[in-house]
Amino acid sequence: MSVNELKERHIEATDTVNSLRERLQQKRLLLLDTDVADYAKSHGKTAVTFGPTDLVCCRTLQGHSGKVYSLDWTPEKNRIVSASQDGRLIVWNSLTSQKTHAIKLPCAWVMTCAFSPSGQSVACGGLDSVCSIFNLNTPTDKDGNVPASKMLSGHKGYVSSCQYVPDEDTHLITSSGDQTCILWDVTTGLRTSVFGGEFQSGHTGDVLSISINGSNSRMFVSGSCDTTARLWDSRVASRAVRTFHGHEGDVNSVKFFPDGNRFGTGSDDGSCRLFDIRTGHQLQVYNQRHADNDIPPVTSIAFSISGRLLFAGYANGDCYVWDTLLAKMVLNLGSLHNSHEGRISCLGLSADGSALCTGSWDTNLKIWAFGGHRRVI
Amino acid sequence: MDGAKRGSSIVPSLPPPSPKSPPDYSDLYGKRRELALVQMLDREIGFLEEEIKSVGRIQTASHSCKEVADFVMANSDPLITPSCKIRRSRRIWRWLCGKAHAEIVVIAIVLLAQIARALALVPAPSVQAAGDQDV
Repeated sequence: MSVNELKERHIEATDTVNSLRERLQQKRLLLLDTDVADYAKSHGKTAVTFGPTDLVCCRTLQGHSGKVYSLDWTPEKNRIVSASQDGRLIVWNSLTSQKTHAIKLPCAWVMTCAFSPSGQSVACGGLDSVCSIFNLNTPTDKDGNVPASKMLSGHKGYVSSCQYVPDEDTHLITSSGDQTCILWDVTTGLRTSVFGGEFQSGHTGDVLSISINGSNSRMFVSGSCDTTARLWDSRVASRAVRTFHGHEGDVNSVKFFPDGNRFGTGSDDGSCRLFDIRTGHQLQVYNQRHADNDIPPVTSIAFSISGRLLFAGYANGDCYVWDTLLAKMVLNLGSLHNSHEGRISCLGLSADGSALCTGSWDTNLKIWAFGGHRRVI
Repeated sequence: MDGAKRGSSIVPSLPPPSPKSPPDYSDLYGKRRELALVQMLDREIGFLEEEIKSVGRIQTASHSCKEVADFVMANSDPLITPSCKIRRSRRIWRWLCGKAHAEIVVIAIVLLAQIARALALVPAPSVQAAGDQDV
């Protein structure tokens, strides 16, 4: 075939793909007989209510001198690692607010961080396109810095998100501005699998977020600037298991629902959505109501341990607590006393679900928990 | 025979070489790129056709919504506080005191009073080891 014939074939194939996507969308719409909120209301469920002292800020973690971009809890103990524009990772004891480690990074432009399942190491990545691993037991060098124990190189764009495979200190997954996700073997520093990429059936825009299924660690979801979320099987890198359409803007954050069969998304279009991984259905949209058309983007999301609550951080500093069953906003942490003074950039629940940590461009992290047994500081 | 005639000029003369301009490498790259993109789109068409066939076999959204609701209701949540349970019990009292349930309330009160009277008539047992002193 000549180049011109190939170009014509390309145009025809693109039209066919668009037409098939439209047909698929129409068929799916016929199966959307209800959403979670309508189902819950029809079965007599009422929204969760919060009193003024039910959820309070019980700790403010101060120490970063720049915007906080990312945080992660240890899987078991109450420690948090945070990454900031100041070029440092800080490891905190969330109960005492003490800093146990402050790691100066070789590249200050960090975007993501994660604790290893054992809590012995932290990983981070950013504009250097490298995922760096630091062992927290390694003594500091003569300058007081912790050297990286491993540098995972291979991405051709910034590292936007990283997460260790549950119960495996030796494997982690990263997402990148190069439109791919990579599964790494931390021991060898080599790529085990690359998901997507040029000429592969994957994302067609920067990948911004990933979440690994806690119930089946072979499955993970990714969110991208191409407005889709994709479900991957780590054993099959050639194509995504399913692509989830619906958002009208970048998908900034993805997180698995605690049952492992659904996941949530948060987007630049200002909405959060709940999708089913087995059927592909969009089960619920969580839409903000704003008087003007200026709807702030969702920057980060997390589910409570039962799945009843969806926490969503927004670019305007709001942090909505959604009742996932009734699709109602039941509390705005951004309006409470002692809330953040800037954009919420990241948030996460502790392993036992008893506390929420939020990170903000105001340089602080805050811990929120049930107010009945704690004194507000 | 061939070797004896090698020295003669029976072999027809080849046309003089006419150097061609170097191949257009960017066009070759462009062709391969277009081919790769077309192949990717063809694969995508295959995936979409498979998915369209399988959509007819999947369950409706209401099944998934039920699974979500059942999971949430079956699991406790430390951030949904005991005070919510208190409010739920307050709602139960409001329900109990409602007009339609006044009878049930009366019966319950009578039963509780009878139990209290019965307990008052029977002294409470006291367990005291030998040698213990009263506080």
